Amino acid sequence: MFFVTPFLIYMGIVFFIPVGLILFTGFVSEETGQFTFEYFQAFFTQGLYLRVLWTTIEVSFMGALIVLLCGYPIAYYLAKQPPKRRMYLSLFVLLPFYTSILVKSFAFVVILGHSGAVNWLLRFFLGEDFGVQLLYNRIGVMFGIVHDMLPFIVFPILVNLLAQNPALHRAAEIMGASRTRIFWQVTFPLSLPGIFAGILLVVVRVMGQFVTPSLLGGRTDIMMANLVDFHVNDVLDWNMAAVISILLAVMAGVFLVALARLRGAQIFGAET
Amino acid sequence: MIRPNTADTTTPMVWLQGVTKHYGTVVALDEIDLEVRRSEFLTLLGPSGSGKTTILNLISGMVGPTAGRIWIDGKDITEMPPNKRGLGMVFQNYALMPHMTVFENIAFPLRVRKLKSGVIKTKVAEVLDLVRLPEVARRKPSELSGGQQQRIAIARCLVYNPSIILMDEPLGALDKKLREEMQLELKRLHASLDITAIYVTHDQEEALTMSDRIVLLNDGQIEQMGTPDDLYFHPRSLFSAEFLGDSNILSGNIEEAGPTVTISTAVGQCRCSRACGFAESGTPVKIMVRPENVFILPPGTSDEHLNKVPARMVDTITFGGVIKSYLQLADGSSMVVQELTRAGQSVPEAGSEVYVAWSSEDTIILPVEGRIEIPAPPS
Repeated sequence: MFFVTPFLIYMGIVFFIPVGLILFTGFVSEETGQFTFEYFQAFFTQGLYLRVLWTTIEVSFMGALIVLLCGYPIAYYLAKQPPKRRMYLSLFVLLPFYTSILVKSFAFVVILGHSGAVNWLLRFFLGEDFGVQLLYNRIGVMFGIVHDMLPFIVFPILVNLLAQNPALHRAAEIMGASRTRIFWQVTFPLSLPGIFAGILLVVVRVMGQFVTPSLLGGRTDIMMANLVDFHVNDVLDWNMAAVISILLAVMAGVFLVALARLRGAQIFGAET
Repeated sequence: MIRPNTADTTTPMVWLQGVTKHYGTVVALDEIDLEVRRSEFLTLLGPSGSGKTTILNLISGMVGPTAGRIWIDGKDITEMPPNKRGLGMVFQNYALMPHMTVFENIAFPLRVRKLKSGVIKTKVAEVLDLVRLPEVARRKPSELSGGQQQRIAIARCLVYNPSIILMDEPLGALDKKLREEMQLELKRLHASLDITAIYVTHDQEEALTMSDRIVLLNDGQIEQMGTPDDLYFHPRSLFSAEFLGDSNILSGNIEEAGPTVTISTAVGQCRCSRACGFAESGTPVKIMVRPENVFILPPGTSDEHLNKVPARMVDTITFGGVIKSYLQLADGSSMVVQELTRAGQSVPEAGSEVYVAWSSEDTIILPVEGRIEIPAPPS
């Protein structure tokens, strides 16, 4: 207990007090100083805010799904490599971590923009008039999310795959099962806890993103976090900012509990 | 469940033909020739690193040999992938699928073989009866005890009638009592189902109890191969003698060869009346006698058929049914005597001077190094 005290004090100052302040700002009326739901009411009666709420959910889950589709094969491939090679290859998966999100987002403009590399190639092969809008819309947001979130899904799955008992795969193989069958009936179901853990990380992180959507998304790709940014910096409505922050936190919490229920104690438990 | 034994009985079920396996610079198996007969219970016995698991992995196809060929039932399967070999395997830690129920686990190999769901239901029920666990089909493996899990693993293996079952220390994770129970269970199943079983263990008692034949491995080579009796009563090397059962070993030189060989040792002369193949006098040898063949004689007794040497009692320990006495000989070497216990038995006190004696027929002469290259007596 003695050794965690400094950390608890630190957390108290930088986490619990600010969170308390946010709750206070969200639930206590500025005029009367009384407990109130008026700011929440204001949020839920605004059609625009509700659209943003829905967009946030949509982008988070769609993003997580695409990241999963891209990340699972990578994790599976890494798990099959000898340890040393796996270590080197893992560094490449971590590469997005080493790059600033702003730099990455501008790099996307160079690659995906109207006169970027992809469109240049398309025009080269398909004719002058050809062009695909890959930026400033949902597609652009997805490109950004996949790039950002890949490590968060690859590593939980990789850890799970490496922890799987190799005797299970050998047993299935000796019993005559093909590689495809072993994957779908043994490897994949056993990796579900890793998948859920990864999705949880991605969804919760994407829900709070605002740089990627504002740089790569279009006018309709406004997320809750962008709204917070807008209310804090532009209109100085801190009550609304607090309300949106609280809603974001509640959404993440609800999602976490739902997943934990769904998989029983498997996500954080010992059973794999 | 019982398959008629129609195939010819002369072709070995498994034949390792000059098989060598290297892992990097480590030689795991050094040109092994091994034939497994149809329907026999063959045990691969040896210390860890002796190559027994490597042999199993080669037969199952998990690894390929560095040199040599592997044949199953007259077919060269050296290059065949594991899922085409039609074998069964039971693992030490059961390797049951944790996410499937017992029923789904046992049905797995049947679904692989694309059987109809009605047939699968019948077969699973049959095999659960066979391993005497008819009521657990809906449970998950984690809800079963270790012994039950191993029965399910065995059921999963029996359900698709593989001609050969490989077992990799299947009872290693069970406690002693359960292990002995399962040994009998496995013997019962083997006897009733007409299966060729290849069993890996490092437990010599288990090997002696269960096997039709034992292959004793040492450092990637076959040390000795034969029935449990052969290995126990006719060890051909010090390694065999010491690995199977307890043994008392003395060093000496051949003094006089003949039908009865005389050996001079530091504690006196010994005679051996068993054929041994050592003819030249002066050859250094080891002599071995099993603890249960040695008696303690009070001083003054004499019998010219017995080898008799003076000894001093050091300690006596009773192990339930048997009593073991530890003695020291004149040259400082030690000897263990094992007798059956009887109530009210009197044992000489520690420190008292006695004689230990054993018959010349129970004396086995072994080379100091290597093994005697004579075939084991037919059994």
